[in-house]
This record gives sequence, C-alpha cells and structure tokens, in this order.
Amino acid sequence: MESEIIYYALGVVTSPFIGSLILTIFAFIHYAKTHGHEETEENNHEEHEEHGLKYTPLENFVSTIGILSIFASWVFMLLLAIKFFTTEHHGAFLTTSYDFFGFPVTQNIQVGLLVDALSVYMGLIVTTLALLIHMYAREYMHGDKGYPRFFATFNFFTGIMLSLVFSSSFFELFIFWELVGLSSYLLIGFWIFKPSAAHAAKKAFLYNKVGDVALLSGFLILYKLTGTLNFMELPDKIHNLTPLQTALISVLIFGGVIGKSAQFPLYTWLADAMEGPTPVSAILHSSTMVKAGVYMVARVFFLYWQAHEGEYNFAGDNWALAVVAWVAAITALLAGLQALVENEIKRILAYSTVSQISYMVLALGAGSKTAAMYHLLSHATFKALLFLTAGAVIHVVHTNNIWEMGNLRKKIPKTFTAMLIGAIGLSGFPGISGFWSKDAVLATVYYSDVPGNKILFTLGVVTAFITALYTTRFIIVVFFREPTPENIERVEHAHDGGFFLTIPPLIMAALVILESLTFIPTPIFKFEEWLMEWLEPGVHAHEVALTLPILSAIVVLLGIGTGIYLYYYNYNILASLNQNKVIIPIREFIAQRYYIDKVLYWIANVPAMIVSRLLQDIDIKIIDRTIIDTWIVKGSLGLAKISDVFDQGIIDGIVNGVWMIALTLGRAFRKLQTGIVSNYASIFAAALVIFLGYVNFLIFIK
Amino acid sequence: MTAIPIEYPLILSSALFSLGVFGVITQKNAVRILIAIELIINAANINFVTFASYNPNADISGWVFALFIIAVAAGEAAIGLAIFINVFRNFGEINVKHLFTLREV
Repeated sequence: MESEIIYYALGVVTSPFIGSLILTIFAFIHYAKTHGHEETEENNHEEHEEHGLKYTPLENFVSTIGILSIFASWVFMLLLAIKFFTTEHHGAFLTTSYDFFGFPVTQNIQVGLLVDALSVYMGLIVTTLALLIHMYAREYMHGDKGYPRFFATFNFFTGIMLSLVFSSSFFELFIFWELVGLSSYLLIGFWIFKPSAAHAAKKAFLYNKVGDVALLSGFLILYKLTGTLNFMELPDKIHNLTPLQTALISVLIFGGVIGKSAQFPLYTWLADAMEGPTPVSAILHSSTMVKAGVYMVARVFFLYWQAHEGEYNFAGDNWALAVVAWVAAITALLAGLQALVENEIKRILAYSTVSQISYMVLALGAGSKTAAMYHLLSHATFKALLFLTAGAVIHVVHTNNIWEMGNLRKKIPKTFTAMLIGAIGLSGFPGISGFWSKDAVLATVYYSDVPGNKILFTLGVVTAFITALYTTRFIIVVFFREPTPENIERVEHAHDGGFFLTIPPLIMAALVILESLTFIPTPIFKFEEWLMEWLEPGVHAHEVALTLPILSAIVVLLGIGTGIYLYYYNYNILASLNQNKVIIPIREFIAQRYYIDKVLYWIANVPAMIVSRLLQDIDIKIIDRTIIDTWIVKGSLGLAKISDVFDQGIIDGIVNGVWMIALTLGRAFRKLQTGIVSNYASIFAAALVIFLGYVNFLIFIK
Repeated sequence: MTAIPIEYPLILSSALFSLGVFGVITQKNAVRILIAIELIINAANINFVTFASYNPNADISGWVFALFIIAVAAGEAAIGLAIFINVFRNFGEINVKHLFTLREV
C-alpha cells in the first residue's frame, strides 16, 4: 500500500519533467535548424485563418507531447489521491530520504517525497489546472514562433511546482522555490522581443529575491537551532525554541511569502507579470506559483500556531502572527482598490489575485490552515477560469483595455458563460464557491486570538465589498455596456475561439459549479469539516454564528448592486464622480500603485547612490588626487629623472667613452705606421734589445 | 791540440749580427739593406755551426741547418733583388725613405 503511493507520487513528479526534457531537446534541434529566423515582434505571429484553425505538424507534435505528459501526471495524481484518501491512516507517507551529497555541513539535510493530505490536496489542484491550461495553450499559442520553447518551459514549470508541493524538507522546498522563480522569469519574459516583458520578468525576479533572502535566513536560523530541516521532524524539535526565536523565524519565513505570494509591499510585480502569455498568467500568476507561499506557511504551520488540546495557541510571540495577519489584510484592501481603478483586464485579475491570496494569508495568520487551503482551492479554480476567458476575450478583440470592448455577450456566448460563472465565484455571490471559502476565512479571523482581530475582520468585509464591486465592473464593461463608436468595428468581428480555446474554460466553469455544490454544508457532508479532519486532525472547528454568513452575503450583494447601478444604469454618476476634485487625486494615488514602486526604488536607489557618491569622492579626492597625483606621479617622475641621468650619463658615457678611446688610440697609433721600412726595423731591433735585456736581467737575478 | 775557445766564434757572430742590424737600420739603399740582412743570416749560420762543432754528442743537425739556411738565403736574395728591380722600374729609385705609399696619408 505504502509503496504504491510512493510510486504514484514519483510518477506525478517525473512525468512533466520527461515531457519537458523531450521538448527541450526538440526545441534545441528546431531552433538550430531554423537558425537565422529569430523571433521578432514583426514575424512572431504568422498570419493564419481565423476560421478553420490548422495546426502545423510541429505544433501538433509539441502540444501533444506537452499535454500527454501532464495528462500522465494527472492520472498518477488521481490514482494517488484515491489511494490516499481511502486509507484509514491519516498520517503522512515519506519516501526514503536521501542525504544531500553527504557533506558534513549538510548533515541531516535530506531530499525526498512527502505525501500527506496537504501535498495531495495541492497536487490535485496543480495537476488538474495544469492539464486544462496546457490544452488551452495548444490553441492560444498557435502561430507563435516560440511554440516549442513555450511548451518546454511550461512543462518544466509544472514539474517544478509539483516537486515543490511534494518536498520533504525545507532545503528541498527552497531549491524548487527558486526554480519556480526561474520558470516564472522565463515565462513572463517569454516574448523576448518586447522590452516591457523583459523588464517585467526582471522585476518579478528581483522582487522575489528580496523575499527569498529573508526566507533563506529564516530557515537557516531554524536549522542552526534545531539541527534539522525535515518537515516530519521539525514539529517535535520546535518546542525547544524560545517564543522570541520562533516568532523571528516565522516572520523571516513570511518574508519569502511576501515576495512569492505578492504581499505588501512587494506585490506590484504580479501586475507587471501580466506581460507574459495568458496561459502563464492563468497557472503561474494566479492559481499555483503565487500560492506557493500560502502552501509553504501551511506546511510549516506549527511555526505559527501550535495545536494544544484541540485549540490553537501562539507558537511564538503573538506579534509574529500580527505581522502576518496585518500585512495580509492591508494587502487585500490595497490591491482590491487598485483592481477597481485598473483598465487592463488582465491587470484587474492580477490585483484581484493579490487581494484573494491575502485572504488566504490572513486565514493562516489568524490560525486556520483549513480556511486558507479551502479558499486556495476555490480561488485557484475560478481565477484560472477568469484568466483563460480573459485570454480568449483578448484573443478575439485584440485589446487589453476593457473600455475598448463592450457588449460582447452575444458575440462570444461560450466565453461569456464561462467568464460569468468565474466572476460569480470571485465576487462571492451567496451559495457559489467563493462565498463559502471566503466566509470560512472571515469566520476564522472573527474568532481568532490574533491582535486586532475585529479590525482585521472589518478590513476583510470591506475587501469583500470591493471584490464584488470590481468584479461587477469588468463584467458589465466588457459584456453589457454598449461599445464606444470607435470600437464598434472591433467588437463586431469578435467570435468564439476554437475547440481548445472554449472547452477548457467550460470544463473549469463546470468545476466551479461542482465545487459550489460540494461546498454547501449539509447535515450529511460538510466539506470544511472533512478538509479539517484531514489537514488538521484533532483540532476543533469554531461554532460559527449564523450572522457572519448573512453579513457576508449582504455585503457582497450590496457590492454587486452598487456595481450594476454605477456602471450599467447610471453611468453619469460615475462620470461626475470622476470629475470630482476630491476623487481625482485619490484615484491618481491608487492608479500610481500608492507610489510603492517609487518608494521601493527610492529605498533601493538612494542608499546605493549615497554610498556610491561617497566612494566616488573617495576615489577622486583621495585616490586620484592624493595617492595617484601626488605620490605615484611624483615618485615615478623622480625615478624617471634618476634613470634618465643614469642613462644619459653612465650608459651613454660608457658607449661614447668606448668609441672615443678607440678613436684617440687609433689616432695615436696611426702615427707609428710611417710606412718606412727602416723605422719598423729600428723598432723591431729596439724591442729585441729590450727583450734580450729583460731575459738577461732575469738570468742575472737568478 | 788546443781547441779554439767557443767565445771567439760567438763573438765573431755577434759582431756580424750587430753590423747587420746596424746596416738594416741606417742604410737607405735597398740593396745595402739586403747585404746587411745577408750579414745577419751568416751570423746565425756561424752560431749554428759553432754549436754543432762543440756539441759533445756529435749531432750534425746544426750543420744541416746551416746548409738549409744557405739555400734559403740564396733564394731570398734572388727574390729580394727581383723586387728591387721592379720597385726601381716603378719609382725610379730604390731609396727606402721615399717608399712609403702603404702608409695612411
């Protein structure tokens, strides 16, 4: 039984990688063959017939491999889930953990697959959505020059995400955490010829890195203090830490969540990440990758809250939880407001994603893993659906701006139906999936011990109102409002996309409805309690007063009503509001993203500038002027002078002396050469006399 | 029989040699110089013969050398006179004080 589960888990994780490997090799061969035909903005989208979509053999091959590998992963996941949820045993299964390399430094750092309720739950969401979105991408990316590259990267991401979900230690999780960051970078910047895409990819990567530094230092401290990073061993070791240590570690780890899951103040990268293709936005930047932060906190939930006799208590100092909850609540409100003023449909959805993830983080901060994962499931489904339909809308009207669309409900009925269902889910319409999960979050916050829980609850309710309002806004503007005269032609030619552009969203819409039906609490089956039983065995749920769901429903209906009134029936009020002197600066302030980017830029830039100015001064004044100008220049000048004297006087003197001596001697000796024989004979005779005299002298001495 | 002391022939050869050297140095006429050279050669010859005669080992190499020297001196005189004839033809005289064309100017 146990070994089967492990084999299924291995299958889930490896299938996408195998697909990615094949596609990568194929892509390399393909690009080597078509060398010289680089992707540019002009030649990227080949002209193709709008009707009668024809895939090239290349596209058929690539998308088949891509979808099949994800499909295999999905099948393994289903088998795994069935096997897992039908066992009596509620605990976790762990593959053999392998020591990482086995260095002394990496003692007790292991890699392996951890299969428990949390990872199976998350893995199901990831594989299901990945399968549908891969199918969608088959048509969406049609005609793109980077088709093989796209599917290779996309499969790679899916494999990485699943590996992250099944990680058994913090160390392993961090590796895949960084790798999803890499795939995010590659996919946001997929259209490499667009400067804005390249910039957005860079921004996402850097913003994530800021959080990752905190995460890394957090779990390294944890390793230093407890000596292990295994998720299975950590809960027992954590009791030895002081509350302050636990609080510090949990806040540092939450830093990683701020980066990856786009929380205040590092959330603006997610809106820019919409430069990537829509399937990427649908799976990375709404439903799976950005949820990695939520998933990680749920994984190490014992660092934040500790179960004690069925009740949760603070694991560390309570300020750590306050940081988490307050950051989440503030992000939810800020991002919700921003979605209200944004004009590009994908960006609206991106800010909405930020806002909704904040709900999950809020639930974690307030002490309910169940509520967070509950909302994660419903949000992942309807947000992926909204992105897919938004992509379909953009695909048919060739614009991103909602004000250039209008009255599309009759032109693209299938997309409209799917998107409407997603929007109802997002708005939290009573009885639909988003309503139940959001309600669970709000109830958790209401009954929580976290400091300021009543204010947090109020913020959550206000955000629920705003969510309903902006959802209504873009649905009405895109599908119901009459288009402005200059855009009528654009809208006239719109029609539903092909099979793969419409069927996956419709399947997702069906999933949303299915979830809604499942979530309705009945005396026989309550989904939330079922989930709690699996995720948090032994913890009791609070009895939720009936007033909370009613309040939530009233707020949501109020939001939808306001939206319909403002954007459909009485547009003039909105127009006059937009001209109001008080509203304009506020609106501008929100549209400028509360100047967060500017402040962050300032924070990153100004100290660097000050330090570099200082260094520049040191360089110019001390190094250049003093050391180089004074000492080095003068010193070398003196040395040069000395060597000049040496060269001129001694070396040249020697050379000149040699020739002068030779000349003088030559002149002197030339006089001897008279050419007269008698002189030579005289000298010879004299020399002979001297020589004989000398010999005689020597003999005489002896 | 009392032998002539060795000093006598040696003094004779020394005197001849000195005369020859004196002649080579002082004379201007090339033929005279040649004659003086003959004197020097003969002085050397006398030396050879003398030492050969007084050699108790009865070695004859000194005499043989004397014969060689006579032959060489004859050849030398012949060549020297031939040179002087040619010099005279070219310069019109054989005064060695005027024959310095090999000297650098």
